[in-house]
Amino acid sequence: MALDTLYKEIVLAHYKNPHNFGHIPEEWTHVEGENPSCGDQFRIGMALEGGVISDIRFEGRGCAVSMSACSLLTEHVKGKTLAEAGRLIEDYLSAMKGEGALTGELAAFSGVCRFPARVVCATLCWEALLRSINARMKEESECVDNG
Amino acid sequence: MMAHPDHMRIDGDAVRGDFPFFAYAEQESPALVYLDNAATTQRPACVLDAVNDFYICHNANIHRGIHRMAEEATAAYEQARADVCSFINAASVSEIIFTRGTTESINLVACSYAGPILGGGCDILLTQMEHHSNLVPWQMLARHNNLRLRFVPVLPDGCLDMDRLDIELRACPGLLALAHVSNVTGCVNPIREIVALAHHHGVPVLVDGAQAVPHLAVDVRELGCDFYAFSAHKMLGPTGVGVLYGREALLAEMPPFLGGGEMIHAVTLDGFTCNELPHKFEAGTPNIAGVIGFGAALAYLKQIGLDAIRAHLAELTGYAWDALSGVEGVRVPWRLSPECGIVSFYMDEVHPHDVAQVADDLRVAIRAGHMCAQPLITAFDLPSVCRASMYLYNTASDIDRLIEALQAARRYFT
Repeated sequence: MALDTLYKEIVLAHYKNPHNFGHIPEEWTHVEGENPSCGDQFRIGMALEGGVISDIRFEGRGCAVSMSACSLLTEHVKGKTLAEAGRLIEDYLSAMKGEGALTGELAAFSGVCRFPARVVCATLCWEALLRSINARMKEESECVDNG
Repeated sequence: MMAHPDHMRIDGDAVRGDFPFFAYAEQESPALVYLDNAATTQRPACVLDAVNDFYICHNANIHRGIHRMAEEATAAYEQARADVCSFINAASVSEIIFTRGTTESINLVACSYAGPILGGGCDILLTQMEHHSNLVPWQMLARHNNLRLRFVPVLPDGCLDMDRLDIELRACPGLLALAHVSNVTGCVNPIREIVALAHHHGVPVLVDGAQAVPHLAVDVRELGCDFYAFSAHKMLGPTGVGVLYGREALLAEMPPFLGGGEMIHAVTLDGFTCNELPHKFEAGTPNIAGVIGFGAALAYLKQIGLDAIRAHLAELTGYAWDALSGVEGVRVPWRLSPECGIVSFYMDEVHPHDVAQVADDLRVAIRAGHMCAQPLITAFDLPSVCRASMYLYNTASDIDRLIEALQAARRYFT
């Protein structure tokens, strides 16, 4: 069934039991991702320790693809430095545009490209977190420049 | 073309024979079930033939040639205007303006009627159930002219709060603009009563009839409204054609909308004078073939009969309602209106886009999302919904296929 290309087992598993899903402490750095046309709304929060994403959580609602993409995102960036996480996300977003291949667990999303209307679901949270990471890194580099 | 002499019952399967789209779709197995008619309908062969025939046999620009083809093209275009005029019982062809669609018709009223006369602090009254096309043009005008927008809320059953409408009208807003039929709930607003109430307070009324004209026998003089907008493609006609009906007395006073050829009487380097109605509002070469195709669509609808279509859809909607209530987790958050074949719903624990994706996989086309009516969906605290919308060629077996798809979605995601 063509559906299984979109909804791989791992996608369904993360949709039904999203990882790192739940309340975000206010003091964490957060960012929002929204797709009004589907009504998807997410908030991602990360705790930073010495430039490392020591913890990350998300909350909100969305379809199976956006929920699982966010769940896997949190799994993959936890424990990474901002720069490492930024690179990982950029590679993922490029692969979703057909440039480069997804590997490991993330390969589950390679079939999404065959459903152009759903690519936005798979990238919503990834783009949001990249915005947040880039903003944070810019702030930090400005602190260093000024400091 | 299928004849339906008794004008009472429609055989969806037989009607489908008039539509080449379905012959094409039925080459695949399972055949496509098309339930997205509130977005756009399919076109019968007579409409496609009319468009094709125009380009092959009569193609010329209208209202400006002396040659025979130009005269034929003009006559066919103006005949379609006369057909529209009689379809909605307008008083004169001067009141029928062809546009690109409902959206452009509403923008025309915002720019040429409301824009010049409504200024600082004035109110425009809308409702919570409007399609974005009857909301955003007013938000743009409000920003530009410093107007206030007020909204009549929707009751928990999806109907308009008529008590609040009455109260809002007492404040004499500059205009009331509202949908005849909601594209989400299918709720039919009592336009005649609303117009009478509005006029009692001296408030002019624009009706967005995009979802109404394909189903209800709309008589603009009986409704009494000042403006009425609708689209051809939601009623078997081509895309890119719409209508604005306006009362002649109002249209005559309004400045033109777009400037260019056709809308002028005479032009000098210093200025221009306007053409007469309705040409004053039809700048540039219009969608001539589309308008002619629309005329053919109206003839087809007339032959089938809107009464018969409405009876057919009431029957199908009732059938869909019973079947939907048997699917675990499916909820209809408002009262179902049977007239216009619109059934919106959601499924607990399964996102509407995922429902629509599974349906698509089983070759059932439904819509999922905010239906271009985000404020209404938000008012019901929903992220988005699914919508199945039917028209004359749908059958009970289409609904059966929809139900199978919903059950499959349920199994897949829970």
